[in-house]
Formats: sequence, structure tokens, C-alpha cells
Amino acid sequence: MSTHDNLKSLAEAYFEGKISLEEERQLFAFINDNDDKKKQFYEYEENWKKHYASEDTIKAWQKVYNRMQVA
Amino acid sequence: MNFSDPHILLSEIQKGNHLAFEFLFKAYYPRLCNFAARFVDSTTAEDIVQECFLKFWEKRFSIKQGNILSLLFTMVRNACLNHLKHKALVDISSIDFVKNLSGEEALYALDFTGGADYVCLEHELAEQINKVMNDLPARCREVFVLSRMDGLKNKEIALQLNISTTMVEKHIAKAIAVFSAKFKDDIG
Repeated sequence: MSTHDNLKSLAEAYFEGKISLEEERQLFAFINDNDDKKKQFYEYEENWKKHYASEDTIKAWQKVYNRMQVA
Repeated sequence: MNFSDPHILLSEIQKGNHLAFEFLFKAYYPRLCNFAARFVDSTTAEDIVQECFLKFWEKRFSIKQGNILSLLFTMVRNACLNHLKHKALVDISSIDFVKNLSGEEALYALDFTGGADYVCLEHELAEQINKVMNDLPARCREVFVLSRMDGLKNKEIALQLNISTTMVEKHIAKAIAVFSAKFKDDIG
């Protein structure tokens, strides 16, 4: 796997809340390696935010949303 | 509307725009849950993060422009800290696992706060517990450490320190009362 692909897959695991402690360390090292990688990370994030939400997240949002209506 | 712009996002949330808040929630809920789950069990982590989002919504009018992600992160972090403090009142040794975590909490700090002046939760918790421990009278502290950290039974402590089990119970009760009083405001 290339560095680029690895960064992307680690970043997505992080956004999805599925990253392990070891992968966290790897991702942190990548991001801190240079500004280009940090920039790349934020680009992945922007893209991910617009297109992805897991079923669990959608269910959790429904719960929170229902409580917002009551409050 | 571009909710990726944090100024627009907060401004819309403050106007009561549910779509903007939904965007914020869906973008950060999973990673905040994963972050919280390193300190508490996953069900509690989800509850804590949902409560934090609700609090954020309730207080949206008083939130100033700035790093709203940093605020959410801090809210979740403090809620976990308070949960652990509450647990520590029952069994202080139960928080020992926090010291054994080896991930990059700093990653979340970098993401949410830029990493400036960041103190890891485990250090903050240990510091706060030590501070309270140091405020306890010497004998009381000694009994509390033997009980809650070394896991000795009251009878064993009484034998070791040559005091009665009633006295051991009194020291433990006093220590718990001091912890409760110190942590009360945070937990409440």
C-alpha cells in the first residue's frame, strides 16, 4: 500500500471512529511528518464529512434530534 | 449552504438550523465516541457524546465564534473525566487502566485544538487525585491507599496498622467524603 493510500485509509478509520490505538500513532506520525500530508488529511476530512454517515451515527442522530424536539 | 465553513456552521446552528447541527453531529460523533471509548465503556461513551451534543445545542446562543470542534472535544473530555472521578469515589484503582493506554490522544488535540497547551486526560486525572490525596490527613491517606489502591481488606489494614477495623472504616469514609466534596462541583 502506498503512503498516500495508507494515509487515506487511516484518516477514514479515524473519521469513522474505528481507528485502533496503534493506527492512531501511525496517523499522528503521518500528519506531523510534513504540511502536505496535514493538508491532505484535512482534504480527506472535508470530503468524508460531505458524503459519509454510518447507520449507527444516523440512529444516534435520530435519538438526539428527538430529544432536541422535546427540550 | 457550505457547512464546512466553521463560521457559517456555528452561525446557522445559532439560528436554530437543524441541518447545520446534523452536519456537525454526523461529522464528529463517530470520532468523539471512539475518543471517549478509550476511557469509558462504549455504551457510556455514546451516551456521553450524545449528552455533550445536546448541551452544545442548548447553549448554542452563548457559544462564541472560534473553534467549535475544540469546544466539543473539551466537553467530551471533561465529561469522561467527571465519569472517571465519580468511579474513583467507589474504587480508585478502577482508573488505573487509563495509565496503560498507549494511543495518540494528542491526535485528537491536534485535530480539535491545534495541540497547543494540551494536557492528557490521564495526567490531569492523576494530578487531581494526587492533589486530593495530599490534602488528606496522613493516617487517613495511608488507610485509603491501602484500601483503594493496594486492594487490602479492612481487617488486613487494621492488622497492618495496628488499629481497629472501625477506625479503618472511619478513615475510608472520611477520605471518600473529601473526594466527594472536591469533585462534587465537576461531577454535578
